[in-house]
Amino acid sequence: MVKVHKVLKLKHLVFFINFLLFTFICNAQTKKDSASYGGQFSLGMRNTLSVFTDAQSVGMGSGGEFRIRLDKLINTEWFADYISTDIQGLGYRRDAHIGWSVLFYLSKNPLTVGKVTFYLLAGHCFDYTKVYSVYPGVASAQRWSSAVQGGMGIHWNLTKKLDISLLSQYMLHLGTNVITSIDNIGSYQYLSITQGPGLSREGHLLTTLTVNYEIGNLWGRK
Amino acid sequence: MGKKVSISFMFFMLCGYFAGAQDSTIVHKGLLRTAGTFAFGTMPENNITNAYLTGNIEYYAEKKISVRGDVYYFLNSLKQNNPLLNKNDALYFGAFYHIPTHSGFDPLIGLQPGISYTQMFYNSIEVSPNPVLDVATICPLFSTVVGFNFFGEKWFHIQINVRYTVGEHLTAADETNISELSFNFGLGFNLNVLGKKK
Repeated sequence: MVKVHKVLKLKHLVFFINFLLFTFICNAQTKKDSASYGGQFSLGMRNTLSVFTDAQSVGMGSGGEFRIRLDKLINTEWFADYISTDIQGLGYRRDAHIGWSVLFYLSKNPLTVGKVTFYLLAGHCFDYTKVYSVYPGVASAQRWSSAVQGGMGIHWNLTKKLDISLLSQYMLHLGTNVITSIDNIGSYQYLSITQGPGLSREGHLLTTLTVNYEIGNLWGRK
Repeated sequence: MGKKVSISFMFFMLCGYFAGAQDSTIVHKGLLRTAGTFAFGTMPENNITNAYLTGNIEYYAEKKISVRGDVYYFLNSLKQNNPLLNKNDALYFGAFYHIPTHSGFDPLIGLQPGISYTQMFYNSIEVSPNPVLDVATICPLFSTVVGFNFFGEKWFHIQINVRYTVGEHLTAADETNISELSFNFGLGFNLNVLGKKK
């Protein structure tokens, strides 16, 4: 009975040592990976389509971005967009976005040349919006908002340093309250704009096409 | 007809001259090139043709990859009874993929987001019987480019590009689709920035 107990204890000890070794190896591997993959800095340009806004119209924007890679499977993307949206011919809105996202790669070997890398993303954004009505006498209104966004995308690496990416993300804004509605005067439709009290929640789906080029390393691999 | 043949002949003579002097190692990492060109663009939605003075500067970060910025300065529209555009200057910036060849012929395809500074005339019976000048505004643009550079001499090259731009001009007075198919042709200068060929 004592022997069995000793064997069990020994098994536990061996298991514990193996566990420690495994943890140590994993830790060492992570450090090696971090050193190898962190610090890559990329610059890029982007075009964005914005749909499902309160305007119920499709907007188009252009902008720029840069990426700083933190680890083998984690990258960050910092962007600025200028989006213009026609509101059913009755008005229009302009959005300026500035924000950042963290990209979580789903592939074991992300950014491999000639292969597609899938990723999930989440982040924050700040937004300035101005809405205009083409109807004379209706004043424009503006709002500031902050947003959270989440989505998914792909990188397609044409070369080791150049990738084309397509991503789709839902952006949820919380900010000052601008109310737009399509009203009628007889048979004539117009866009009414009012600055409402309190805060408002507004979301839209952004689909973005980007081209990025890796400029160099901020740290790690040279 | 004879004029067209003469121009085509001159163009092929020029290409032949450059081809004779071609250096297959001109296109390489570290090459910086710039070109000044004329561009003509047609806006199918508005049925007008526009003329631009353009310039671009491009750096080959790799033999096959370059980054390039373009400036378009709007000169005027051709043959129009009612003027539509007063300003349509544009800036583009993006990346290009160059299909490798073993000569100075450098086919390329690229994506260039951009912005335009656009001002239009619009008709408003309430304001004036003549077209009225609207406010100028900035419009986001998406564009794709295909074309080629033809490097002949050490310092010079010919550039021909076709660009399709998607954009919309939005103001309180007017909404106009400014999508455009444009063609540009010109002479460029190139410089080896890295000082060695790779």
